[in-house]
Amino acid sequence: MDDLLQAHILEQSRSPQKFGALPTPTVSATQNNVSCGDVLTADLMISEDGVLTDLGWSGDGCTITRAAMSVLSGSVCGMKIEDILSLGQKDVEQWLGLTEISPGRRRCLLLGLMVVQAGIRQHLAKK
Amino acid sequence: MLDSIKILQDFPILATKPRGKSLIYLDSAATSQKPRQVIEAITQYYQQHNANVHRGVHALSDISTTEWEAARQEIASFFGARPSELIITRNTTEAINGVVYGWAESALQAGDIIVTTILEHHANFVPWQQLVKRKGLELKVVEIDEYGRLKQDQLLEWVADPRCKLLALTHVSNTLGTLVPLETLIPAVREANDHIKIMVDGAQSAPHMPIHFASLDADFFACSGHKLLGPMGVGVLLVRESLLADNSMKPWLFGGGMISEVTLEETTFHPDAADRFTAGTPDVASVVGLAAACRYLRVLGMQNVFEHDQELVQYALDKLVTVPEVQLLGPTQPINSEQKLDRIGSASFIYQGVHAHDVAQALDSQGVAVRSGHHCTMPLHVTHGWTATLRASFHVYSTKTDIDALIAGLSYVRQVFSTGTSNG
Repeated sequence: MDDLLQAHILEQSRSPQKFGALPTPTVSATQNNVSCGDVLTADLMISEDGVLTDLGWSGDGCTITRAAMSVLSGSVCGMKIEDILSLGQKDVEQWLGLTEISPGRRRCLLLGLMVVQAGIRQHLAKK
Repeated sequence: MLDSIKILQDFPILATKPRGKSLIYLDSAATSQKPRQVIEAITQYYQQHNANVHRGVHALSDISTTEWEAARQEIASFFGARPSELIITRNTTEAINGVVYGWAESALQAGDIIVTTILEHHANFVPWQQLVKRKGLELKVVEIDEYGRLKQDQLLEWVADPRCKLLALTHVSNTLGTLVPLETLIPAVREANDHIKIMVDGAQSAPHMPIHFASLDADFFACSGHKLLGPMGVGVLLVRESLLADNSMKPWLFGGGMISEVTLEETTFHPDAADRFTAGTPDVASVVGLAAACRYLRVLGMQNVFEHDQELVQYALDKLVTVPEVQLLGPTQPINSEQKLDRIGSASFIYQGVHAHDVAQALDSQGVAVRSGHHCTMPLHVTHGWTATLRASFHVYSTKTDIDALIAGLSYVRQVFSTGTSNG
């Protein structure tokens, strides 16, 4: 069983990457965690050729939610949005240095990825 | 007075170590653990008595039917109800939905008012909210004061409206532990409105205090077997007999077992309510298991169970209030010096500065299992600005030592989140 309160996870949560709203995002999306009511918003900058050029996020959450959103934010900028849509639980676990998240914290781990992917889908639906 | 040492020996799961540490189970409001007497009753049913009920004339079917009927008798008696008033469901949620589809769909009309409360679990809120949308009714939600107690003046004012046809309210809040004083409130509601029906969600009261349906004077009472030491998958819906007799409460599931006669054109339903509301093969083993749980609690004595709970609740509140980061939620003091604390089953709180899931995670690493989240009371949480809260809840096997372990665990939370180091 992974220790979910390891020092590097706590540190990512305390000083998260890409925290803060973007002034003029291409698209924004918000998602909530149905198990606790945490809400995250992601502002995405997407180029004409479908690359995520920047990301900013806001909202509050538990350590896992914040740390996962932090490492995700640090990893997905510069990726093609189609590639981001194909990311899953294993990718976030790997970025966070976890073997496998416990079922009770799966939603916390994936809230950030869900909100980024929701923003990309909104963007694609508008095009 | 309960014999804690003897009781602990009845619950094999409490000797397990799911995290490699002794299990301190403080999540009984989510589901209780099961004594070996219940586990053995279910095993014995499948090993010796299993056959379909009311279906065959062979010996095993007779044995199974006898078990089923005896179990129904035991459960009804436990709740001070007649067996004919007992409808077996899967859980509290299904029981409440049964009242929606079996009674309210035909009894309530556009313009009628349902009064409920902000304390409700989603199980006693969402079904009414959705019914209100379907049928053009009005839903009024009674507020609470700063201590988590219902604003009874507001409730009584609203139910006095002749358009109010139903009061749907919890007996004990699953989030705040608030005990709603039904013994005084229900007579006052009846005084204000003589045609109102009253639906009580007893999911969190039935496990901890004596329930006597006949004296309670509610029309419907719902609870879950799995919270009162019984198996998952079996719930209880008690319905006032007159509502069954005049067919105000109708079957909402149709099929085998619940009929009297079926022709190509028409079906008449079984005259006995017990059969009319049992469509298809029931979960006999779970009902037998729940009856064993009722027997177990009856031997302990529900008044003793209640007093044990009250001792633990008070002890938990007294200990938690000494933790500087803890903000207690719900009633923490009696209304006045002449009354007892109106709180049952749990102590809920916020740990300032640390998300509830993180607190629960750190406690779990110490072997302490508590609940974190919105506890299926999102309207209550949003109204009060809480994202997620923590709840330590108890049952007959809980001890003061468990609460001491919770308090020690909260010291560990402080260590992790102030220094950023954990030791697993």
